[in-house]
Amino acid sequence: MRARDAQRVLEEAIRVSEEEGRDEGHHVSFLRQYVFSTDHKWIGIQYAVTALTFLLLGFSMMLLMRYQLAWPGQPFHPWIAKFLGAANAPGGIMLPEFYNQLGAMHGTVMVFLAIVPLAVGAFGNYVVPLQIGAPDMAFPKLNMMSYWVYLPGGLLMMTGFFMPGGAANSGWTSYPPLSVIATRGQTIWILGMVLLITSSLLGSINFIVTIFQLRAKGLSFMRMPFFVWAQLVTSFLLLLAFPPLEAAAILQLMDRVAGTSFFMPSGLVVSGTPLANAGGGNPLLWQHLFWFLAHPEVYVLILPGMGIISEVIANNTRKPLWGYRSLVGSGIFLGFMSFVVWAHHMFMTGMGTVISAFFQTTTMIISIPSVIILTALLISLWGGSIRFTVPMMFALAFLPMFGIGGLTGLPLGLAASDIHLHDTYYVIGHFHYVVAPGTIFAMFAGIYYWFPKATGRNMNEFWGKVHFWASLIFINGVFFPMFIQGLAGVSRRLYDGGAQYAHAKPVLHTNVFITTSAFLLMASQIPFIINFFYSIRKGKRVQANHWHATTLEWAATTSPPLGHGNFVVMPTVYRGPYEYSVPGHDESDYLPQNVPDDVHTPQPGGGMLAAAAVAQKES
Amino acid sequence: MSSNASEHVSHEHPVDHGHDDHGSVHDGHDNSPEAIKKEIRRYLLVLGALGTLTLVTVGISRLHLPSWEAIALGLAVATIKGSLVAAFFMHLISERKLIFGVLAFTVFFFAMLLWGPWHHHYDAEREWPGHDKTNKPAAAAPANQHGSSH
Amino acid sequence: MDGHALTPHAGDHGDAHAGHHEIEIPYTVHPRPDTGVYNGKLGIWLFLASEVMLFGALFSTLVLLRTSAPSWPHGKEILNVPLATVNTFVLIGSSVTVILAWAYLRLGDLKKGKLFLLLTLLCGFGFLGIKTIEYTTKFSHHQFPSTNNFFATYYVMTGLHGLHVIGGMIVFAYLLLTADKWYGTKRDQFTNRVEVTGLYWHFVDLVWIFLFPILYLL
Repeated sequence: MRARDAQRVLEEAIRVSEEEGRDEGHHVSFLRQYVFSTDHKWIGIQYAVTALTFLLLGFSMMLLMRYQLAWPGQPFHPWIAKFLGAANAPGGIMLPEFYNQLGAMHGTVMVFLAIVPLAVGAFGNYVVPLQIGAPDMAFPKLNMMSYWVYLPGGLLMMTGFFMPGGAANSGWTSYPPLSVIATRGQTIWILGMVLLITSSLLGSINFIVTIFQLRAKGLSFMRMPFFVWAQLVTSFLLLLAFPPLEAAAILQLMDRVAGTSFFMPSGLVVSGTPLANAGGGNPLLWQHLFWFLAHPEVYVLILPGMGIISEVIANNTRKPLWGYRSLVGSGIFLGFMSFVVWAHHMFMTGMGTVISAFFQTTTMIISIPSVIILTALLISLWGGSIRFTVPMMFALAFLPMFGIGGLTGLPLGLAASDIHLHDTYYVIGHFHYVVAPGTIFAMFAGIYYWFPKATGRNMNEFWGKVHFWASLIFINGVFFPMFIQGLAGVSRRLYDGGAQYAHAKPVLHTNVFITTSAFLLMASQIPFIINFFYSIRKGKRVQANHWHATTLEWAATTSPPLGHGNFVVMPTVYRGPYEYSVPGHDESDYLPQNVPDDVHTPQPGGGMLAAAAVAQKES
Repeated sequence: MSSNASEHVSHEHPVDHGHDDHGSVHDGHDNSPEAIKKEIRRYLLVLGALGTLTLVTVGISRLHLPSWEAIALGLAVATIKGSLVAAFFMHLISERKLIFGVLAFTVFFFAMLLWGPWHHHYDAEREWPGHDKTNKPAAAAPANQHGSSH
Repeated sequence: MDGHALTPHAGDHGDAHAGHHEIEIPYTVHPRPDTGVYNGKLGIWLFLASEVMLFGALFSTLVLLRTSAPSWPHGKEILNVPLATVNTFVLIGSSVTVILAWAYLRLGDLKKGKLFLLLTLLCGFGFLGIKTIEYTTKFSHHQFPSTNNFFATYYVMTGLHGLHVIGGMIVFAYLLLTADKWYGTKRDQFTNRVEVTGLYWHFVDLVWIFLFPILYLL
């Protein structure tokens, strides 16, 4: 079978498939095709656009807060003051109540509306079926519903800002009794969470069933790309950890609207007036139920990112990942352990020594799989032919950044040191390092990496590198000083940034530095946003497997047509996911998963030519 | 009606994936009429057991046992009933390892969830006895006035 | 060349959308050999796992609040045990009817299958009816969720359970209404849907099997 013939066969197949698509295109209404699509690729794009918008929104909320922290009591620019309105910032000066709303909503938006929908809803949906060689997700209609419950949930959350009393303002953690007596926005928060949790539940079921049931022929579990493993573990976390928060949300809703006392202890007095409820409840119960989810949630935040980084590193070192089995085992162990560490968020709530010791132990243990994963990725660089593409730069930066984030978690996981650091800016620095230069950098890597897959064009490399360097510098400028502030004892969630405390004086000036970095960080995203939209239409056209990658998604056509499955020829898998620089295979430095062993063709079209050749042979 | 299951089944599958006639285990269940009738008999037996155990549960509650024993016994009977439903109605007893595995982890995490908040309180009480003694509901609901307030 | 000829499919070929080519998702109806399950069955078990955690949080709430409370009333002194016992039989009965429905559908007997589905639905109505009597009686005695934590947990746990009963009943109604249409053309898929809904329903029964003694008898 000659390469030329195989090429012709393939092009004919694509032409037929696209014609079918066009012919039948007018049978599917615009609504069915683009609004209520059941195609995982389009749903992934819907998630991406929505999540990135929320990311921008959450970032903007933080910039408002940072302005107040750097220049407490200073008015905003008149346009911003007008936009915020007199209820939130009379005379352009932010009210403490509004600061609290921004704080609570920044966390909520970033965690539940931006990062997880992007990491799981967008990347997971778009890439996983392609990487396992499936025509779509197992339950396409359920997939569509997941998105259409997420979007209303997110919008509902945002309406809180327009309620009397404003949005939720008791922290993203919504601790009672404060959250129970808080303004109406908190009820909106609860209802929004119920919708988001439902969306997440539907999605996680879909992912797990898809990965178990729809893997292509030959794709055993140990041949799956690590990205798919990461999504599988993540989905189990979402499946089993979210329901307790859903229950807790119902209980808090009951406390707020039905006057129950699940979380309300007796004898509470608010503004001089004793509360009229029965009492006897337990605020710590909320904390347990909340953190039972929220701890696995942070692994939901990081695992897909680790998956993306793994793909990018393998591809750009042109060698297999080191320690694939360790990565998989660590990922699974991490997922399991994440369910038994939650109370390390509660060391300061009056825990007895036995329970405290239990959670400190499990927390120390859980650091091990994280370190194994990071180490395996690091060692994977050794001896590689590193290509410094834009995705790779983000991936490389991820490693030390996540390292800092992870290491700074250790003193928080030990109760003795946590006494000094709990609820300080040290904590904020710690978790932002893992999520911001950690996960968000992984998201950027993923966007630059899979952009050619989705659009057939590459994003501009120069501006990508500008985006990278500027983001890296300024993101460190934002979060590193927070460790210093925290160690000095500056508490979090303070409207004045610590100005009222004498012990905070020596580090107060860092607020200006942090805020300036934050604004510059926002400015650094402008080239990215422009690059992204410009490149969709005008980016440099590239071939289907632009990065010369081995995994199955690159064997599909570029931007596979909607509603018609993903592969012209359903792939069969013959080897593991990272067969780069295979000894003895001299035609190219990569061997795609779906190319049979006895076909030796040059690889510019990826595995499609070879696969088509096999198909022709077999038909 | 029920006699020609084989003809029904093969008739409904124009696309034949090596599907043999009735009784094939290709969908995990034996669909032959005899096998299904045996299943039905088993379901009715389980129904009988469940009904009996329900009466047993109510009977135990009338014995006025001390609270820990009552709880333990009540939970034990409930567990037996639940196991019957899970094993036979939900076919867990013949289900695949995959499902079993998912459930095993779930049960473990369920146990953690039940243990955590309780043990927190228990351990704090051990360390600081009476640490929440002021947390009493305002007015306790009267237990019974005229028998039970149904 | 028809690339789709190589698409692995083990699903039914429904008449569904003439002219519009739908993606065929494998293992919708027949199980995948290595996992041994079809998609819907795995999906429902995963959902049930999440439901275990949902009700688990409520049991956790009950355990904490009850053991840490200075005093806690006995359910059998306040709640209506006879009514709840009847309800327990009703729900167990409905578990049997739904599995009989599935058995008869597999035997090819649509009539008996629909009959038992209807019986299941009626049992559901019975359960809800008795629950309504219980609740309204309590309300008339001024026993609300806000009265104390005993009632709060009672109402929330039985209430959430009741919502799940309603959810199941809606699906059974849908299955009953579409049975004639589906059983003709997509028999195996319809039978699977009954099985999957039945699994959910058994779980609802299971939760009640624990709720009944814990709330009412202890």
